[in-house]
Amino acid sequence: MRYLALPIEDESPTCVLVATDTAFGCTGYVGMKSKFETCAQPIRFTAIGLRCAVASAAVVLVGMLFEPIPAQALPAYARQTGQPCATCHNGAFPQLTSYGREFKINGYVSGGRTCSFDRSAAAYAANAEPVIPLSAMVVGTFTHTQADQESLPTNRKGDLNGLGVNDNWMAQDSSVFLAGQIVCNIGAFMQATYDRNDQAFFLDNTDFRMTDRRRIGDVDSVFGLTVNNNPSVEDPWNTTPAWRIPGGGSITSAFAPGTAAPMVDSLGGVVAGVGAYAWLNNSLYVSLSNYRVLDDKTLQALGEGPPPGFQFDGPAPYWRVALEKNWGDFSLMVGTYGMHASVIPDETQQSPNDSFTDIGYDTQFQYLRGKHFFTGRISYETENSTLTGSQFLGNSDNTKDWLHQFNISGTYAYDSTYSATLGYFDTRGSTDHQLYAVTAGLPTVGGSPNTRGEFLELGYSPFSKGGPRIYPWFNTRIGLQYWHYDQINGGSINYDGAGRNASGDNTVILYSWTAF
Amino acid sequence: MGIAGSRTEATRGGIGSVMTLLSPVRSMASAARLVLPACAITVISLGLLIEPTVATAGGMRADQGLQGKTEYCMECHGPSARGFVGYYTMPRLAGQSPEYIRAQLAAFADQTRGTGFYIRLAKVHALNPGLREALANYFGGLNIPSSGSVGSSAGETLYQQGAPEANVPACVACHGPVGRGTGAIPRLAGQLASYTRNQLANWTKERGQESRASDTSAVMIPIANNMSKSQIDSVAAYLSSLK
Amino acid sequence: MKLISSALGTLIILLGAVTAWAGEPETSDFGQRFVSQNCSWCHGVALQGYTTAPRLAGQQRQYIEMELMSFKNHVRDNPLSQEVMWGALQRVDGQVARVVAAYISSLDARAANDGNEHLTGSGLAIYRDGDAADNIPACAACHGPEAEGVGAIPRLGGLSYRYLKRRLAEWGEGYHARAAYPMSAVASKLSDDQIEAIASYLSFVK
Repeated sequence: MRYLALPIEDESPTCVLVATDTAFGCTGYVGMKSKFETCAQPIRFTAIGLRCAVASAAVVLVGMLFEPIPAQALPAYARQTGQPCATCHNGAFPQLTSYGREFKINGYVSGGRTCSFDRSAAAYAANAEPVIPLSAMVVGTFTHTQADQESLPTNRKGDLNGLGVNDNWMAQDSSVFLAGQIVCNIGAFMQATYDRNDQAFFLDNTDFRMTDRRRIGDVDSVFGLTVNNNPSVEDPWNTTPAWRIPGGGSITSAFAPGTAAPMVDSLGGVVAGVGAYAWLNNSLYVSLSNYRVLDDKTLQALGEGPPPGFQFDGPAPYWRVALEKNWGDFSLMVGTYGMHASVIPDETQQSPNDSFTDIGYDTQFQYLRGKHFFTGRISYETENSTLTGSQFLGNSDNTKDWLHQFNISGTYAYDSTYSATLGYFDTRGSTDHQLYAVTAGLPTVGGSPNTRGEFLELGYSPFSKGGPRIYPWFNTRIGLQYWHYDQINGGSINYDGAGRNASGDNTVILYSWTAF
Repeated sequence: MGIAGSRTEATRGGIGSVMTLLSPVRSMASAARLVLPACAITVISLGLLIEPTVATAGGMRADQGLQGKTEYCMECHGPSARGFVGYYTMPRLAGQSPEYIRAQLAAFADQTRGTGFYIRLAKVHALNPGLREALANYFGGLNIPSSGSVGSSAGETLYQQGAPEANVPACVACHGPVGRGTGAIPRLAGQLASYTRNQLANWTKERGQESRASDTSAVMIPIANNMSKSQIDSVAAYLSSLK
Repeated sequence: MKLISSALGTLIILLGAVTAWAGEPETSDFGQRFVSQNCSWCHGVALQGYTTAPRLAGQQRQYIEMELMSFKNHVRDNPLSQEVMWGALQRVDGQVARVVAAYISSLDARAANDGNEHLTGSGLAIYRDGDAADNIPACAACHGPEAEGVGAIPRLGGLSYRYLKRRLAEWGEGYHARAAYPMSAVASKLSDDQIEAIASYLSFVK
């Protein structure tokens, strides 16, 4: 029995012979002729050649783990659609272009297999290759804060997590994704993440959808149902909480100071909701979902950390209306969104309910032509809360509070490769010492939630238009972020009462964000 | 993989107003070159940033000579003038009798040939008379094989013997034993079948001439009228298969 | 209660998937489903075009089939084709292309109406008669008097002005020259104004 590794001239260059024993009728190839065709020839079994057959099968299997992948293969959604990442993200991941928004609204199934009762050869040919909707992502960071952390960082359980008070290198987040077509017109975006700082594995953003497309009269319509765990995760623009840049849609510091945010920004992972949406004439988007806080057992199983303790009393609707106009190389969206909930502040105690009403206004402007891609985003959320219950329980000073959050940012990407983002964030609200300092435990001496600052990010995504030949699924962005705080939780100097200045939390992050 | 926009995108003055805005600035720059050259250059440069430079051949004075015109003809009549089936069928010119081509060009020019679309096309064919001879000789000299399509034995019979019962004379009498024609009588061998069919089916409309016609196609009027559709189809198929 | 409602919810979702799969009242054939899932997210629900993606509805069947294989075989090489269409078509073979082309060509086409209205007269003149002095052939000779196309020659009527402009410019730069004879030679001779006029005129043709 001999083992040879030889390029075979009459096969394509990527086929390699790894086992041969012609005397006993056994041959084995490893490699791929094309995305859909492997080179492995059937291994002929004979009684005498059984050892050879088993051994070469083993070699072929092992070889397939390391075989070169042809240049067309791309991660998750890219693999399914055949598109480079640039088509939907244009180097400004996770910012979406018009096509990216269409892919999401159409339920993550584009490019997948076609469900049909048809038994024709064409139907068979189109569905011949399954696409496995799995992907993975690692975010590696180096984080430097202007002032050291006040104590060694701890994980979610409260134990030291091995990181230092400053200048930390870590694999900050590692995620696996179920992303793409599940079956027929059901598609998914499901992320599970291991957080290095918390040392915890949890279910991250999740959005399952079922969609239908049809023309009704004069209206081109896409209808969808969504099941998700974060209000606004189903939104295709990058202005609502789940995907806002900077914010839910960007890398953030593991050591970012705790600040206050409206309810609709704060429910990720602890709720589950069902909703329906419609996208009409590529222009009008309407969506309505209802959310429920998950019970403690489920939250624990999903790794979501200590249960929040509150529950919605009755329906907790999230709504969204957006109008987008595309003309030439430009697009402009103007929209509104919001959520209302009557909240039982503590399920273990009897009290009146709290009530929260969040209303947001947002707009996104895009220009895409040739190598230039620019997106401008503005969102402004207003929250009015009636805290009768919390006040009853001694968790807030005021019966009514308000909280407004303003975000404005812009991203320019050149050639889907180089990107720069500038942003400004500003949260203001009524002062409530008991609520912010005591109940929420935010670092603040004044009990004010007022926080504002600026954000700058530079990014380099060399594989946005296609991965390297040796590993074409590969996509990564190397980035540098600077977060600058003018004010944190009501103060610039000594905002937490222990001598910490807002500038102390100014943060530089060097990261590599890699997807497979 | 994909090279998004790696070549300069030809915008063709897409923001037309920007281009016209720049022109007065340029002339100002040359006339008043001592005054604000830096400002003008900045404006032009900014304009170029907004509107990337294009390499366009459009707008240059078209070549009116033989080369320009033969290339122009072949854009409709096919590579090497082998004919092209578009919405209309543009006939094969390669190897056609030069005298016949000259006569047709004259007929288009004085509008004794053509109807509807072809009347308007007369402008195309109404070239400088001095060029007609050169064009006719050029196309007549192009020697390319026919497409080699499947022939028709019924068509061959019709071509060689005619159809006396229908008053259709044998084509061979004028167009020659293998359809090569001679002098004013056109070559039919290798002609696109759809063109031949269209001409025979609509002869009076397409080619019916007044007596002042500069060609002799009037002789075809009764012949074409007498042919049935299946006879036209078969003889056209036969002719397209000839070399 | 919770178990019943979640079981019911699951059942409703599965039922929805199956009924959507089982189809609308009109047709439930493979071509329509394939196109609805894989083409409409860029080309629009009714394939009337969306941003840079052109209208496909009502296009000549043979032309679509030819272009689908042209993308797959990397023959059509203009920038957006390379970036988007090559990958999109990688799983399509000749059989799929045939079925898809048949379906797409059967759809009603809507005119884009996005050209410059003032140029339609001059655009019509160039389209219909060409410009003999500039050695520009009449587009109508191949593309038909109503810009409807024939066989493998595409329908141009009603396509987006921006799309037509870009294509004419790309031919002028030599993209896809061999396979699309004689477009490269023709487009190279068009001036910017002529392209503006032709593209504008065609965008209004029903």
